[in-house]
Amino acid sequence: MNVSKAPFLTSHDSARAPMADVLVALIPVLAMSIYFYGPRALTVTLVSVASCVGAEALFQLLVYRALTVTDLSAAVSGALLAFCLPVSIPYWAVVVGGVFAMVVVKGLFGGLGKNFLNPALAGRAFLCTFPALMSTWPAPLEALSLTMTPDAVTSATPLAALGQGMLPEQSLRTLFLGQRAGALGEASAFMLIICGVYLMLRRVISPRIPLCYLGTVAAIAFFTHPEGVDALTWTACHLLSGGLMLGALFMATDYVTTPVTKGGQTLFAVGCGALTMLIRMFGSYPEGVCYAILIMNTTVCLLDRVLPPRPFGLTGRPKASRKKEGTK
Amino acid sequence: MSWNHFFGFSGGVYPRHRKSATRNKPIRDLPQPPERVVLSLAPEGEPECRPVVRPGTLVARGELIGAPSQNGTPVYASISGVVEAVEPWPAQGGGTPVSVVIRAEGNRPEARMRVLPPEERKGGALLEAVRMIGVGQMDGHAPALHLRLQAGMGKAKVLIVNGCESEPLITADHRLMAEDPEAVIGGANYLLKLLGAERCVIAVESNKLDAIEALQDRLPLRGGAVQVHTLKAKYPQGMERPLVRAVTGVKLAPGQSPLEAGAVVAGVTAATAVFYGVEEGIPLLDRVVTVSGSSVVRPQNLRVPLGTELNELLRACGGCKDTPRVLLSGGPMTGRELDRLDLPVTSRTNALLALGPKESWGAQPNGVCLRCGRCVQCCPMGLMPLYFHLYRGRPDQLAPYHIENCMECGTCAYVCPAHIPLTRQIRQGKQGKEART
Repeated sequence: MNVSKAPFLTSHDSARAPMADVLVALIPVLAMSIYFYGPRALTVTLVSVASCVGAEALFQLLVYRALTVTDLSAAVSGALLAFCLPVSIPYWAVVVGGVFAMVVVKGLFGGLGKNFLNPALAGRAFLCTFPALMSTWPAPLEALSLTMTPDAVTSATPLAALGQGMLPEQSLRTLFLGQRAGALGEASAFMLIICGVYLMLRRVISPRIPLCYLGTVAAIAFFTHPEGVDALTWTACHLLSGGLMLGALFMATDYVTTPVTKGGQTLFAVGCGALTMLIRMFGSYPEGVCYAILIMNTTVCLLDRVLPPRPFGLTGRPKASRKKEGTK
Repeated sequence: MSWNHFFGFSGGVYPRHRKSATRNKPIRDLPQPPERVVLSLAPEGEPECRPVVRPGTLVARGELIGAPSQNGTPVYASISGVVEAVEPWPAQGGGTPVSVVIRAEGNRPEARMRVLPPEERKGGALLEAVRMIGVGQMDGHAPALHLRLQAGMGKAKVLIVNGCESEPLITADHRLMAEDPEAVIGGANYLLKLLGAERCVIAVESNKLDAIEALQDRLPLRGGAVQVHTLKAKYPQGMERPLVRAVTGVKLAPGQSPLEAGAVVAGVTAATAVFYGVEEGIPLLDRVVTVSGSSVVRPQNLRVPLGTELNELLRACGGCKDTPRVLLSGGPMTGRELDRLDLPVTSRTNALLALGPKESWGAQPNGVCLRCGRCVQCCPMGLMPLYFHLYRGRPDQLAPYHIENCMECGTCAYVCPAHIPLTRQIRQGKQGKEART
């Protein structure tokens, strides 16, 4: 078929640009987590990135014989996977999680663009099958051993307190700046927000999903606060605790596993928010973000069809009655 | 400024317009007139004209060489000389229509059409005069101008003169508006009288401030049937359906004529040609072409006789300084790729572009869709181009996605970070759909 090859201009240099931007945005977050959790945070992240990139490369060599690891998507997944994990996690678990994420969740479904679950979150969920590893959350500002699996001093996470219906012992400022037990990437809501805004300014992510997600969580938290607790403080604690910031800004905005339409994205974000609060309030897990996003990932195809954009001029309304002439 | 003007249409992109190379260069003639011109007797999709000349006939510039059919468009000699041949000749569209080849010779006085006296410039006589100017289908793929005017007589409420030129690199209409605003306004007035419409809107994008000023200077401050409206400089504002939406607020369905919105759309070049044709009896003989692109030595705006071969234009601009990545006739978003330069200029040729490797792109047919959704955000027609890519070759799965609504503006392929040739795949999908139905 002889068709015209127009257009001949492009607005990007490569498909790497958005991925590189995400990595750049994650560097300050990594810096904060190194500050709070020590150099082990860096080694865990590096091991995660290396194992994801290596797993994808090996899988591609074995199956497709075409390496596409330079598009940095595996590196981004590796960094995000590391940010979901506690700093005391043994390195072998990180590698296992990375291999699972890249091979099973992404590679076996066809590689880039074809997976339906967020690989980093799915890898973390897989590691939850080793509950002992994933439920010890070391306190911040304790330098942990780089090589040995550390015996960490654990402390109660803010989410554990929220799950009990009490305000966490850390002040709001501490929660905002990040000095509390949690996963690597949850280290600092403050830094995550800055990096998220950076990505929005670079037009890598759109503000729709994060705002709707956080808004839904805030709304539900506001209206369901327990007796005797100030509603606004309760809402703020929920917003700043756990992996919500990381999830809303980096996980729920993953291109491949989220809807492409505006309506679909809004429904996705609201659904994530509702499920997060449901699991946090009624589920046995203190943290709901991971599973909320994974569950909504499975509904993406449906969401895109429920609220598609309106085709121009084909809405079915008669044109004569809609005529509005512009005046100067 | 009304909301419609400010809003324009949803979607679209803001490519770097790259017009700085030629936007301030006044229109120039070719340094030497062309040695020969090739004029197709079936210009741009029109029904074929009957040749009234034979090889060996001496013609003057402006003389009729192709007599039109009942509702067709005539063809005139754009240079004076001798007819070398009347035979099939390769044209830009790909076919080889029968063309009149004229070799330049001598300098006979120009022939003119009959000029209508002012009191006769209305109704059927004016329509016939406009038809005989030879504008035809120069405004893209819309039907011939006189057919549009005929359909709109008495029915159209607004005449839209399209001065948007939203494609990057092209400045032909811009310079025409800036240098000859009286012709644009005069032509608009004639068309307005012909249509019997209430008002005329000359729609210009906001990146052409000198043209807007030049036009406003010649219009009354208040009132007046002809007005200049400044639209946001967003691509593809200049295409018909977004333009009608910005001026009238009505969203046309694919295939619907702008008359359904009460509008008739004409281009700036067409309006100028109408003015000179009615005022002075000069038919459409020349065309302003922007020669630009990073590979061209001296980009400029040239006024060339119709039928001039494209390599003459490039030569007049100093040729190319390096091997261009792609040579285009028309704009970089919707233009035709050229594999040879000895094709003639037609009334639709508004630009000749030689894009270097940094400006143009190499499509990656095997690019992987990231489902980033940028194509969905930017599509002015409210479609989801990524599904046209993911379901290509499978017409039954494409069915619910309204592929016929696509106006092939190229915005989706422009924003795709994976460089997937989306617009090309959509064109193939449309052909496949037509093949099945």
